[in-house]
Amino acid sequence: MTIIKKIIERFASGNPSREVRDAFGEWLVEDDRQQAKEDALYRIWMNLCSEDLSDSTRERRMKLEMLHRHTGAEKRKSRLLWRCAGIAAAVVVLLAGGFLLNHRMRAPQAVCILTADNARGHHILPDGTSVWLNSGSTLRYAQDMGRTGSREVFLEGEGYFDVVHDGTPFCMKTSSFDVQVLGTQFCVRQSPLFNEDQVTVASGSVQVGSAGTAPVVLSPGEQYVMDKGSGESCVRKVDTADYLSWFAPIMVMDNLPLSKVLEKLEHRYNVKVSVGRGVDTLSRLSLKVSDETKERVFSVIGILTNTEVCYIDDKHILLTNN
Amino acid sequence: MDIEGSIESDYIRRLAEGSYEVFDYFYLKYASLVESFVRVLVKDGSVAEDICQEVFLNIWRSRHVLKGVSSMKNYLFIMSKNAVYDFYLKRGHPKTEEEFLTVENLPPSLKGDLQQEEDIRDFLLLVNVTVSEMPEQRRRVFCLSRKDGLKNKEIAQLTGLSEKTVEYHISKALAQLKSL
Repeated sequence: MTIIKKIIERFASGNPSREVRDAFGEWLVEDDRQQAKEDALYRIWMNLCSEDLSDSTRERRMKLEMLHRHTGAEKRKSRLLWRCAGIAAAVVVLLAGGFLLNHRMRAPQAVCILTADNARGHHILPDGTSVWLNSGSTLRYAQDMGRTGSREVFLEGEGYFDVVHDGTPFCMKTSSFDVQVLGTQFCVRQSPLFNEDQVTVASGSVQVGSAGTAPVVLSPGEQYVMDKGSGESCVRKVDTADYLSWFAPIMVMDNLPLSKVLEKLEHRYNVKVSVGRGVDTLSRLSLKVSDETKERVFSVIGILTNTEVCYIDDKHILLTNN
Repeated sequence: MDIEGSIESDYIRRLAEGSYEVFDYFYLKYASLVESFVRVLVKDGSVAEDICQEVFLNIWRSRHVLKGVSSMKNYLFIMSKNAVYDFYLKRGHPKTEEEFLTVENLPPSLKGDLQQEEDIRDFLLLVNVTVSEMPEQRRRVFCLSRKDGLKNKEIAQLTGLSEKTVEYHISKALAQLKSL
C-alpha cells in the first residue's frame, strides 16, 4: 500500500488531535501527487456502507426542510401546487382556518391529507401510526387524534396502515365499512375505480364492520372483499405480497406473466388496465419499478411486449397488439 | 434495457430543469453519505453537517450544469471532496506545537534511507497520525522522550511511572512506528 493511501486511510479511521488533523489537511490540499490522494479518497467514498450512515429519516427530513428555505421550495409549498411527479408527494391541508399543519392550534382541527394523481405519500399520524396513501386518495382525521382516547380516521381511495399499539382502539372508516384495530398492519382499498373494496391484513388482526352485516374478524394473510355491485362480502386467503407491494420503494417483478405484472401495476398506480385480443398475457417479464411515472413504466411494458399503450383516460389503459 | 441507469439520467435532467421533487429525492438518498464522508475527513460533526448542506445547496444553485452528468453519486463525490479541500485551504497553515513531531524528533533508525523531501514529509505525517492514535500513556511518554528530549529517568519522575514502564512504552511505540 502506498504511503499516501496509508496516511489517508489511517487518518480516516482514527481520532487524531486537532494539530494532526490540520497538518493532514494542509498536506491533503497540496498539488503534489494529487491524483493518488483523490484515488484514496474515492476508495473511502465507495466503501462507506449504509451501516455507517446512521441518521434517522426524521432528522434527515428536517435538514431537508431547512434547505427548502433556500431553494424556494418552501414558497411553492404554501401555494398548494399539485405536480404530477413520479416521486411520492403528500400535501397536508388544514380544513378549517387555512393554516399549515406545523402551526400549533388550540382547538382540535380536522386534518386532511391528499395525494395527487400519479403520486404516493407517506405520513405519520399524531399517534405515531404510519400511513402510505396511494395516488388520488384522501385521509381525514382530527388533529388531537391519539390524545383523546379514541383514534379515528376517514379514508377514500387506498391506504396502508402500520398502526401503533397504544392501548386504544384505532378505527379506520370509509363510506362503506369500518375497520377496527388495536395495533397491526393492514391495507384498505375503497375506491370508485374498482368493483371490489378490499381490506388486506399483513399482521395482527382487524375487525371489519359494515351496515346490515355482522362484523368480521380478519387474521394475517386474509382479505375481506366487498363486491360493490351485489353488496356481498366474503373473506378469502391471499398472498399479501400481491396486494401490499404498491408502496414499497422498489417493486421487483421477476419473470412474472404479463397478467400478474399488470395486476401489480394496477395496484401501484391506481389504474385499470385492459388487454386487447391477441395480446399474450402469459408472456413473462422481469422488471424493477421504483419512483417512475406510470407513463414511463407502461411505455417500457409496451416495448417489452411489443404492444401499443393507449390512455383512454388518466385511469384507464389499453394494451393492444402492434 | 437498463432501466435504472437511464432513469437516473432522466432524474438528473429533470433536476437540471429545476424539479424540487428530484432534488429532495437525491438529498434523501445521498445526504447521509456526503455527511459521513466529510465527517471522516474533517473530524467534526457539525462542520460536516454544514458542509453537507452547502454541497446540496450549491448543487441546486448551479443545477443547470448538471445536464451532462450521468452519475449523481460520482458528481457528489467531486463536490464533497472539493468542499473538504476548501475547508482546509481556508484554515491556512497550522501551528504545530505540543505533541506534533518534526523531522528532528524522528529516531534515525526510523528515517531509514528516505531522501526525498516529500517522502520525508509524508512519512512524518504518517508518524504523527499514528502517534496521535496511541493510547494516552504511550503517546505522552514517547513525545516527552522525542520531542522534549527528556531522559527515561526524567520522564519517570514527571509522570510518576516506573522507569521500566517508561522503557516499555517507548519500545512499544518504536515497534509500532517501525512497522509503518
